[in-house]
Amino acid sequence: MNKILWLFFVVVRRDLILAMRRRADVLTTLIFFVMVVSLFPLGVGPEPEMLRKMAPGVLWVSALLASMLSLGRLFSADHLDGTLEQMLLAPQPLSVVVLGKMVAHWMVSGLPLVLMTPVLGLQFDMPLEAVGVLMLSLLLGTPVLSMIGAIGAALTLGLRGGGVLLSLLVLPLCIPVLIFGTGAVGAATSGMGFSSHLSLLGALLVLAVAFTPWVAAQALRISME
Amino acid sequence: MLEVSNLACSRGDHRLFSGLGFALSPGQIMQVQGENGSGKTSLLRTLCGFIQPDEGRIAWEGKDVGELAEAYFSRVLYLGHLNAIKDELSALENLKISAAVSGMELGESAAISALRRMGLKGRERLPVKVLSQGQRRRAALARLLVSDAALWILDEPLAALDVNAVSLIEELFGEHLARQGMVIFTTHQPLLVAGAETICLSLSAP
Amino acid sequence: MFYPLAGKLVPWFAVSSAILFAVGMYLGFFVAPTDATQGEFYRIIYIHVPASILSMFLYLVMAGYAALGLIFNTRLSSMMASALAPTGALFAFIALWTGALWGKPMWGTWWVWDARLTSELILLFLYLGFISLHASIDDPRRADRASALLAIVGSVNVPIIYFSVKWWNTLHQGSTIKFTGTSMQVTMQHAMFTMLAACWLYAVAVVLSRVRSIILERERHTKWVAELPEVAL
Repeated sequence: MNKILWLFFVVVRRDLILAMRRRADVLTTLIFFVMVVSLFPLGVGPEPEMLRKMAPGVLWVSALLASMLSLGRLFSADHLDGTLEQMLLAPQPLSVVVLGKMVAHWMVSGLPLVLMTPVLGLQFDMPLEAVGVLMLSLLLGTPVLSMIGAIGAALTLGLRGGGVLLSLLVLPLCIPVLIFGTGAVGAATSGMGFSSHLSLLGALLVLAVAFTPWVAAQALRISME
Repeated sequence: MLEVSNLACSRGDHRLFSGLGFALSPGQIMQVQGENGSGKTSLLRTLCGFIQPDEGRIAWEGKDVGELAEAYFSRVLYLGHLNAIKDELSALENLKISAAVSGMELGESAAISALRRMGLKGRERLPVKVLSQGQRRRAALARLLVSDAALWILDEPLAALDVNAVSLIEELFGEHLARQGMVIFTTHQPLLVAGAETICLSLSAP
Repeated sequence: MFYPLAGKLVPWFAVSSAILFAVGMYLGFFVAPTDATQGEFYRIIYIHVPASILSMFLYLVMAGYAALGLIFNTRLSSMMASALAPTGALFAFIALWTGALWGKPMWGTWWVWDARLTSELILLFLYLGFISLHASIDDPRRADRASALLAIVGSVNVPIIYFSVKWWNTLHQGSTIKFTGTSMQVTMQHAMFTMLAACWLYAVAVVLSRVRSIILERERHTKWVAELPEVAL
């Protein structure tokens, strides 16, 4: 058990160090997120009433797209320089390595989006409470995106046009997260209880933690053949 | 003890080899020979468990490798064509992390002395991207010095190495065999290990 | 061998499917009475409902075959899975298309974000993902196994997606539509079942003939394929 935990932390730490050495990649995802969100008012007009209503959906869809953007790198960089093969030979189950990479990916590409949300919420004139719920829902939901996305990233490893294909595979699977995530904010603004949405999101997160590392590990083994 | 029997492997429609069998005991070294495209790399990757063989069995100490899984992986050190080192990290960090992934905690001083023996003195803390190809290969091969794996599977370990480094690798092989280790490797350069006879396995295109 | 057997079965399924289509169409469009509330337009359900039922069912069958292929490493089941995908996608597309055609006269708009139609759309996306993943991997074995894994993940996800879409739909209260009038007349039922059977047979015929060509393609280097009369030409 200790060895499993230790390997998990080794992988997380390694990926975080690598991300820090390549800060530009992290920033690109964040800037993409901010830009997509800021484009919506330009597209649909500046009426504050409508923007307030659209804000949760816009932020969630943008977060979805931003995380798709960064998922392509999740395994491919390690695949290209051979370090992924070494991880396949780790003396602990591959799912531990995969979970470590998922967590690191979320900390680098999901967490910054959550932290950026309040600023963007202001752009859309969202009430304070709604911003809080939106952040909570993103906090619970973006890890699920990283995890489901990791399956897609593993399946499309090394394929031509893998990035677009990845989105094609993963986006439909992410729909429940999107629905519950935006639903929570909608329920909060209309004065209904939002806890049921968040607990459903939490349930999805638990399910994802339980199953996706194993599935993604299988996918990696298939793709590495 | 590694036993391979009736192994067959193909890539796409193309059958690389079939009916392949050999056994390797502790203290033995084996060179896989064959032309380009004869399936040397595929064989080594199959032995590592990356590729599922079409037919046949690979057994480690009498048990099927597929069932042993992680218990077998912990006994194997694999170095492929790719160096498996990260350009952004220094040689020292690379060595420590790859040791950690293979389940070993490696101290700073042990790592530095391994890199020095590989001839990377003074370059331990430079990012790998500023090193030359040969130096990168040396940084990758430093794993041989710190690993406790019994079976080394090395694909072209001598690529990009100079004469001094080649004799160092020969020395390392000798030490490993003296510890009752096993080595399987491919190379297109002459490689002689003192005091051990190299078994040759020829893959010929079917 | 499966290949010649499938070859013999295909015409039978094709012919019986064609007959049942003709009968079902006749029953549905000429015999079944006009619906009291929906008029003549409702008749499109004789295509819409079987197509949507089959599109969902075929996905499960496909995932089942894919799982078999992945677990037991049987190549025929993987080939069946990849042969099923285009037919399933076609039915999903037909269901969406007829749904839109039905929607226009009924609710005055081509598309309503109704739970069933939305789920059908997502199902089509899942099919497309499966097909494009399979198509973009060159190595047939990796293609089979990777897309099998995707199909299994998808089929586990389908209930979650369906539930969430339904929930989303009730929350937004935009368009709750009651399908199927209170009671269906007997002729309507007959027509519906005939059409369902016809679609079903059509799917079997098409999938079998597609799997035959996949077998030929995969086994093109083997001796028995070279000896086949249709290939030896």
